[in-house]
Amino acid sequence: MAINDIYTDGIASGWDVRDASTFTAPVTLEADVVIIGTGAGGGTTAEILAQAGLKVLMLEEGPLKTAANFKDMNEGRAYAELYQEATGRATSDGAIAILQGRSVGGTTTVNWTSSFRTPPETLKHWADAHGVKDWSAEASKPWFDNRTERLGIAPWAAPPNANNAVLQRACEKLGWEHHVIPRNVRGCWNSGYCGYGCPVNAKQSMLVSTIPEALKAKGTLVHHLSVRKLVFTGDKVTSLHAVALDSSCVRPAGVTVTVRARHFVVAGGAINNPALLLRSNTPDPHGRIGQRTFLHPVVLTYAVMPEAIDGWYGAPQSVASDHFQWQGDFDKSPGFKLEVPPINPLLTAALFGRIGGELADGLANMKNLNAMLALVRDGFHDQSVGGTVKIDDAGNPILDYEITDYLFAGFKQALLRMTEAQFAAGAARVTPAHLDGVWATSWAEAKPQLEALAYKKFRLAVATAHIMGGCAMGEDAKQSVVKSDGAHHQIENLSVIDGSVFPTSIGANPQLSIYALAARNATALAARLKPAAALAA
Amino acid sequence: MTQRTAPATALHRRDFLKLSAGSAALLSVGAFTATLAGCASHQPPAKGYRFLRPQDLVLFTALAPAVLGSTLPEQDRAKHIEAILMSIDATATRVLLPTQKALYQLFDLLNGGLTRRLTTGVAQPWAETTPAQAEAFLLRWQSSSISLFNAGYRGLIKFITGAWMGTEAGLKAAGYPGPYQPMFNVVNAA
Ligand SMILES: Cc1cc2nc3c(=O)[nH]c(=O)nc-3n(C[C@H](O)[C@H](O)[C@H](O)COP(=O)(O)OP(=O)(O)OC[C@H]3O[C@@H](n4cnc5c(N)ncnc54)[C@H](O)[C@@H]3O)c2cc1C
Ligand code: SF4
Repeated sequence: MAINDIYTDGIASGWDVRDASTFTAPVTLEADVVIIGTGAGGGTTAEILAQAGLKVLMLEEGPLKTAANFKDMNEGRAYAELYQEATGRATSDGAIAILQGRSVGGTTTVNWTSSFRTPPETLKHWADAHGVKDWSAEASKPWFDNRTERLGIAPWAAPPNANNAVLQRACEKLGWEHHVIPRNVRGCWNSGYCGYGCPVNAKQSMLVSTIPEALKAKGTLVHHLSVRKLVFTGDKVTSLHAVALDSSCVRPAGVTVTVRARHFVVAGGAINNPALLLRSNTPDPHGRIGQRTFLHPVVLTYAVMPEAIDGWYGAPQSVASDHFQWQGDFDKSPGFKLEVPPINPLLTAALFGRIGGELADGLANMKNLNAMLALVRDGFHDQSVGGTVKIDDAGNPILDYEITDYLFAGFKQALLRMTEAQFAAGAARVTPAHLDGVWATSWAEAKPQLEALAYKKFRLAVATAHIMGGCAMGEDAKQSVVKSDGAHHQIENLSVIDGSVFPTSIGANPQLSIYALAARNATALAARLKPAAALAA
Repeated sequence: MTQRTAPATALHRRDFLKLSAGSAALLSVGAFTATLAGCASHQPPAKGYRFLRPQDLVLFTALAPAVLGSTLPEQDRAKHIEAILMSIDATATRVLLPTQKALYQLFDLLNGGLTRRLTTGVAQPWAETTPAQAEAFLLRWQSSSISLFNAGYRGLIKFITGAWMGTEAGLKAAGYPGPYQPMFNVVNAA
């Protein structure tokens, strides 16, 4: 059974999909709305605007890769082709590894399908502390219901794989809150390859859901095209400049593209959005662009279990615990969500931090390996104000992110609880992802070790797959870049619609938070633009 | 080339202490741009490569067996190492300029005779280094109290381990049984 990759048939039926790497001369394009980036925010926006009858142009710097490319189920290929900087992205000091997607569908093409609504605590905090309007638990509910329906989101109905079962068992033993993770899948094979691109279109990423619908509704998609600058005249954006990339999507191919549109939607995700706005000299009277960039920094512990885990197979994430998310002394350390990552062999080994005999031992036991992770909730305390995106002379993004003592205190709590959990679930031995970590064979042995560790950059492994903020929303222009509906405070025909608008991290994996807010804001934008579009027609 | 023209101050271990106080991606090398004086070398890449220069190939050829230990089979070792070098090269071409600069600075530090001796404790050029000496260097950077060296350690070993795990032989070493068969067979059926 060959899998229909959706695009081959779509393009044959007349979808307007263009590969900028094949352009041989400068091109000028026009649209009602141009959307920069095709990830969670951009994809959602494109479908809604195109179905509202607007002429939509989607621009994507990454390549168009589909199920046809994913059928090798190969991790190395995925990292090279589908991730920002081939997974080599990091904070400016290199202390935090950054995983972010870069292909049609953005990070949704490679994400792990966990779909959580924004916690009510977070929504309340945004209203109270960040001037976010009309996005309360009640106001947002219909939009979460709407996206849940659209993307087939439902609690994972099959039993968790052995890797997730470790977390479930631990929580049951320890009396910790835990829950089944809802996933955005239809007809999922329970295979575990979400991070390399789903080979059967089961994951309802933007690649297979909203973008095809936008194309059916007469939208245009140009990939291999990197937007370099927005051009302003007065308080409006009048055009944008983009460069075509070569076929490998690495270097400029030498052809430029100019786009004119009535409205510009920036949806390149955190880090890239602020960089684009800064390169463009976007009005920023209060210096807010790039501020408050959040990461849900992740720390990890590894357990060798007596039973085979085969954590490379099965739905990557199906069990989570919020036991330490909203109860604790958050003046001392931040809350965190507990989950497991899939045991993708390359990623697991690359983050392991050991060499020689210790690496060989780790690899020899990978079949029995359980990894646990904590997503630390950054941005909710004055000792956690997030990172700052700057640009270098060439306009490349640089993210400075300071790991404060407050965050280190959270990392320590997380390592303690995860280790306790792994032993409660029957681990034979456990070690933290830390250069000084030694394998402990009991919780009693592990605890003093974790208490005594040096909580320092580089010694402790820290990574992120959830990059948020940098174009914060809020009603106060002194504190934010865009209003609560995504409209730029100073520029009337510019909106930011994606995860970069969050004023803090979420406290849960962010994709559904982006989908719901994007659906609300794109619907409002369609209503705002539609009458004029109808007139022009 | 950087190792020849960088100010002498950048070469002193004591200065590293001072300079790294403020302080590399999955590479962990950013710290090098911020910390080391001198600009990256403009020497062209080795033949068949797009980023790594001849001396960088020698460096990684010396380090890979130390990092990978017994997971790197004796048989076809040269072929495995070449695959690792090609993969490192491909990754390095895909990172943005700021990280590329940091990579060259790290490589230049390790390839300069004086800087190598001062920071790694390895007296002879990488071409003459035994795996045990390479391992001793890596462990020295691993256990150093200077965060810059920890960063360099993480960057180097992620590069090598990641590259190795991108190969069939590396995945075999990790006991990975290969793509989930029921699905792989179906999606790859004609
Ligand atoms: C491995 C991994 C697993 C994850 N798992 C989950 C999960 O299970 N659940 C969850 O909720 N979240 C998960 N996430 C995170 C989630 O997918 C992202 O937070 C979300 O997709 C971000 O949406 P976005 O619209 O802000 O940006 P993105 O989805 O990142 O999309 C931005 C797009 O814009 C493009 N772009 C950027 N700049 C430009 C430019 N200048 N010109 C043209 N194009 C540009 C980028 O190439 C990219 O394709 C995961 C992330 C990773 C890396
Ligand atoms: S687990 Fe499901 S969604 Fe993920 S790759 Fe496999 S079939 Fe696709």
